[in-house]
Amino acid sequence: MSDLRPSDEILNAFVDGQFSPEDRLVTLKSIAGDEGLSREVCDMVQLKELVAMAYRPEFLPETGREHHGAPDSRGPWWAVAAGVAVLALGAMVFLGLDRDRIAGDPPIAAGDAVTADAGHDLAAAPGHDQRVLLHVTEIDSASAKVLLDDVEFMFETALLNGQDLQVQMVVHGIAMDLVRADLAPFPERMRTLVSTYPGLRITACGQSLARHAREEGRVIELLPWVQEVESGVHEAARRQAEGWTYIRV
Amino acid sequence: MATWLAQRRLRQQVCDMRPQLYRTAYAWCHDAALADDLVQEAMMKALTRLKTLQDEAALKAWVFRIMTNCYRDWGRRQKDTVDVDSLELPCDDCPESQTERNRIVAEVRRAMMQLSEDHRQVVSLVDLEGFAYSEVSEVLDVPIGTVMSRLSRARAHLRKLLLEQRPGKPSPVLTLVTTAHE
Repeated sequence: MSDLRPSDEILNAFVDGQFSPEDRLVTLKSIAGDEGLSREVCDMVQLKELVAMAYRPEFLPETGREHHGAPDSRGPWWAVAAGVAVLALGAMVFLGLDRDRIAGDPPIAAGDAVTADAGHDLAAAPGHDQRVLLHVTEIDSASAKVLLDDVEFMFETALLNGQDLQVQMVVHGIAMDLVRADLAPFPERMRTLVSTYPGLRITACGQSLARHAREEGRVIELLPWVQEVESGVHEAARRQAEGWTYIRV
Repeated sequence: MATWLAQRRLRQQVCDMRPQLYRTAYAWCHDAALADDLVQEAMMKALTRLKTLQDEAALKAWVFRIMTNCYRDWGRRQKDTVDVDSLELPCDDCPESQTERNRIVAEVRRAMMQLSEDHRQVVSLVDLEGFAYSEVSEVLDVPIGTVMSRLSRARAHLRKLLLEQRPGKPSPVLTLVTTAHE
């Protein structure tokens, strides 16, 4: 064995492509001049490939929960909780709200508006359903886009984790433009979301609709994929009583 | 808005990493349920702490580092009751003898299980995820020299284990290794 024999660390770094082209060339010359070294490097390459093969996705158990049977109450919640946390953060930061304002808002029903920390509370709540109510009372076009992005993210995350998520958006008051056929800023986006995620339901307050109609002196049409409920406040209270997680936007 | 869009893109990238995270977690613990838990916990933490990420280009290493910490935390919690390195390879993950390929898979996994935790982690990060040594150094929070020495010793040990798995008989893995370059 030559004194110039590269160390094992160097040989491994060579196999892993960690060198600059110049250093690689120097090591390559050493390897090429020594048959034993060449064989050793080939073994390293093969070993590396074997490890990669042993953990190829098709050889892995698809899900740990199926594998062990009993579901872990923690897991299913994390992703949804993350979505809720992100949504709440999005609502606070990007919809122009802050904690003080939220704290100062009059409660719609028994609970206060959900903050980012509530995601963790949700995660910790055993037996809590994955149902989220978004009470949209005030929103502009830019904020609406953010809201829809967050809704999509929640469903993507839930799907990714095989979760069954239900989200109901209850729109009322001055946010009604969001769901009006004549004024909605993102009708196609909403249609796509509703048709893509069966767990998403967009509802509009019938009382608000009637008030807008009176004020404008004409019939106001909702987007076809928006359902009318008798009262937004009543719907929010009803869902909250049913255990839905309430988020005021 | 631009910041938010960037955050959203990063969030999606974190979600897209799930298969990679799971593969590596499984290679570390060889327990599907635990691997699933580690991935879930790491993703949750990553998603909720995304705003603290300093360098977007380092997202992958950052998420893997979070999972490494989750695994360490789990190890600490289990220390009094379970020796990680003594865990048996679950039988339903050992499709032994069904096909030559499955047997090789089982042998490699068995050998990986016999590595120390440190060695198993570094091999997984380099061979499964293709991390550069500098990134592994970040993920595991050890100097790059330590990464190199661990990797070198891990592979040497892995090769020895594969050779020893079938005393008196040629290992199919060894056969594959030796015939491949002859």
